[in-house]
Amino acid sequence: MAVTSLTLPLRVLRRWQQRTSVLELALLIVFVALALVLTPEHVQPVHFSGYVSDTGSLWRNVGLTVLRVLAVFGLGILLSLLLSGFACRFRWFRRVLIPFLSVARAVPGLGLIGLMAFLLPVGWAIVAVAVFNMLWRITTAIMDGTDNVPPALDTVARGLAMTAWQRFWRVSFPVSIPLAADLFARSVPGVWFRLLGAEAGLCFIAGGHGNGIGAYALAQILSGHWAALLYALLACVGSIVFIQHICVAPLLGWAERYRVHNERTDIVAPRSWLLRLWRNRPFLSRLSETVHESVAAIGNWRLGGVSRERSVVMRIDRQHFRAVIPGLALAFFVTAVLRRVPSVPVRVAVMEMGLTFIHVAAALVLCLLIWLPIGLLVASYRVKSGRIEQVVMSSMVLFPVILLYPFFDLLRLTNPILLLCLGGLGLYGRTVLEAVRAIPAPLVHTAQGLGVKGILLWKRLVLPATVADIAGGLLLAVAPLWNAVIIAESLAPSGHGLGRALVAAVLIGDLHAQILLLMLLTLLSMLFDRLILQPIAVYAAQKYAFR
Amino acid sequence: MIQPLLRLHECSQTYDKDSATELVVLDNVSFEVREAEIVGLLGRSGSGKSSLFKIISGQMAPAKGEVLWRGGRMKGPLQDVATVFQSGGLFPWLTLRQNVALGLEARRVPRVQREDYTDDALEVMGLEGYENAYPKEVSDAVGQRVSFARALALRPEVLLLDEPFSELDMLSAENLRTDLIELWSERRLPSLRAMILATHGIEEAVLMCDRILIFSPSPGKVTHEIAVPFPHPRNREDADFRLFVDQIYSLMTRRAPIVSEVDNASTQTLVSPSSAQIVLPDLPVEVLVGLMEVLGADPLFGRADLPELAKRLQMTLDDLLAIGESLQRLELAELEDGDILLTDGGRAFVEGDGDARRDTMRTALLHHIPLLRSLRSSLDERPTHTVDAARFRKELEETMSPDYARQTLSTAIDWARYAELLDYDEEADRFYLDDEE
Repeated sequence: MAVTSLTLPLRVLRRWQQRTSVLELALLIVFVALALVLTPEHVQPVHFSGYVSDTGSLWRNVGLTVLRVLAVFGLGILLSLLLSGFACRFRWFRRVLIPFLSVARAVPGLGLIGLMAFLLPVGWAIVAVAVFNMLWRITTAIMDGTDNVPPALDTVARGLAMTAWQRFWRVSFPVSIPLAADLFARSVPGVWFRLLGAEAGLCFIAGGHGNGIGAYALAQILSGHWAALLYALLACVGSIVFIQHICVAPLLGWAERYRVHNERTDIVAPRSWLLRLWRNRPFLSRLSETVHESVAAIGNWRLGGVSRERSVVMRIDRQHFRAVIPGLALAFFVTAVLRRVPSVPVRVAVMEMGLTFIHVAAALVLCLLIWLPIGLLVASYRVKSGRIEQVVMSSMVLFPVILLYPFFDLLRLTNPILLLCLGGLGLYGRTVLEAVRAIPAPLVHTAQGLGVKGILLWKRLVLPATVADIAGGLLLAVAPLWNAVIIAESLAPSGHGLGRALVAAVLIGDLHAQILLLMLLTLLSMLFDRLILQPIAVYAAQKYAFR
Repeated sequence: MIQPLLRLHECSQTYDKDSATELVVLDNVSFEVREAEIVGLLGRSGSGKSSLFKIISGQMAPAKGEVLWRGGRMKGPLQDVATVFQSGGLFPWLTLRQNVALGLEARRVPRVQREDYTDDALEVMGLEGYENAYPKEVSDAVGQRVSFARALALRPEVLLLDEPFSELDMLSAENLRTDLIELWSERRLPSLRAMILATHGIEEAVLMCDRILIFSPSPGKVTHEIAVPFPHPRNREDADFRLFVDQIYSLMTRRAPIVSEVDNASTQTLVSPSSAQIVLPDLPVEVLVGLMEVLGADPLFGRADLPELAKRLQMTLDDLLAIGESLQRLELAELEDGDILLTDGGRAFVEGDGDARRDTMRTALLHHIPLLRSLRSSLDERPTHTVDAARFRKELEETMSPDYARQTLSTAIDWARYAELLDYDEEADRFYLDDEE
């Protein structure tokens, strides 16, 4: 496997996602059972008259959405630091958090919209839905950092008698920054998708009251103001570019400082004009130093004692403990379900699950069918990456396809497979192109020297060298689909699938059906990921790894 | 009587695997460190030097025995001890100055004092001008100087040097050693009372230390204590110096290690029967074959003086010793009083053609590597002639650390493939016999 942008997340995926365990399933059903017990069966059904009350000017809505995005970023970073810091301090919490993260990452955040609308004020519900998946990804990255501090640095930290608090802030957290920033940047398209979806969805649930670009766009669709919708779309693109330049790019550039040597040295460090400007202005630079020193000062607090190794002891799996928990969880779940009989028959739920599986799998196959030939052609003709291609690919990755759905609806192109494919296309395409271009030059030169070309070149060099990324790319491409499937299936006139059923449950205000359907969607996402995509990706990575 | 700074009394350390077995990494280690001396801990990899440093610095409590600091029993990490590590371990996101100050920050030393200590440490290690550079901008040698400065900034009474020169090139290492000895001799490190140097380099130990403790590996224990009779500065080319180094080599390559029967008995009780497995070094078979060919050829004709051979092959003596020990384990060569000589098996190997060499190596592996013997017999017994690697990995992990188990298995596969003893399918993680077998 060549070194592409996928390499790092794959490494993390292997450590963190290949943990399909009974414990994870137990956690999932415990949370579902708790939600069933703690929530009323029904809330007020949606009374939507088909009209959105005045959402205000476009710029006001753009401003609100941008503020929400900033709130999502801030909240995501703060909460993930809190969770991982807590996990670092208390081992019992860490033991629960690791499988919990694995489950939480599989929950499509947009599916929580009905529950969040019940629990929180509208504004916070939107932020909560948008931050949901990002939070778990950043937490995973920080936890990964605490687990993978280079031994040399860990030895020094212990040698300097640092406490657990100091080790977290001065060593583990800085080590995790590059990966956390990387996963943060990868989460941004999902944040936009969920944010706009939640703004529109909550406007719907609130009977036509709402704000933000999502709500504004919904108002224009319902009133047939296509020109205004187009303006909204352009404003959204402008906001995405703005956020990308003032937050994401500087963060990625800044995170490079924390990259440990010899790690991805062949990857060009991201550049940011804002970061450059910031570093070149003495006042701003001093401000940075002050912030840095303040964080370091917090990290220097000697909270807790210095742990002293008694002897080098191997971790013992607590099998008996693991065996009891799932049994208890299942009993709790069965009790909760029996007390609150779900309105969705099991047979129907299983059928919807099967259909959603088909939609997602077919969308991935379609992505593969589109990008594989392009990748092979790029490899054959050694097409170099140009500025235009980079802009197009970045736009495809960043653009929230949810904004295109109304236009596809207008054109009667509402097949869920097609709509889903749009969601994963950019991510997958970028992965395939990067993989093709990362084939080591000596191998390409050897193949050229031997006169290997055409199909033989594909068979003997391009496919084996890129198969790991091509397979791993599916893991990346599938992530946004679980949120997109909720909207895509709802728009299809045939009206089937878990996404459609979930939206229907939101409309009738059936909270318990929402919880159970979301559980099924999460389960499907986990099983699809663990039983199909991960084995393929890991096998490909192992078999075709370069030494 | 002058009280020693540090005293270790019958310290043992074990590597707990599970309730059934434990691996002894240090066995009844006792010694003292007195003021104004540099003590060398000389031993090969696996002799427990790093574990010993953790015990001395208070990061780890010994499983058995006690550590006394200035006569009092040590109860936790010691403020008066600082360590310089092999890899330097500089934090890439901090400037060199921030790296030096890190330990002081962690101890919550007031800012003014911290700045003073940091300046002093930077100055004493000759790092003025580098303060604002990041570790990636400077050479390994400068990086290691920073590591020294970081330790010295803590104003320790005892400095633990954990192979601090081993990752540097020869000239930089020599320069740093000389500077350190100068600083020590000129008493420019006022707080420092003693240094303990862990090394596997005999010359380095003789060059720097006042007293050398020789450690045997697996488990680590002190086999000899030698006082170095030369004053500082020492000259490597001095005839007495060379003779002294050669004597230590002879001591370390003696066929029968100097371990009393009582010691042997105590070790046996701690190690389980399944620990017959041995750690194999990370050495490709080509290196073993190459050394045997050099030894067997003109002008050596089967015997060579180790230091001379190392010079001739442009290798460090320690790397050569590791290869020699592996050949000795396979009974293809012997180490004797600082020399290495081919055995009859080794000569047969060198003189044989491809098939004969393979047969000789196969016999040697089956006789002297228990892991390969057990693997091959499992393969022979099974009708499918296949066996899961996981089983053997697990078995190895019962007697050694997971890293050593991985290394041992990888080396065993490499050697076994050369001898066509068995093959390994990486994807299936299984050993198998070829159809021809």
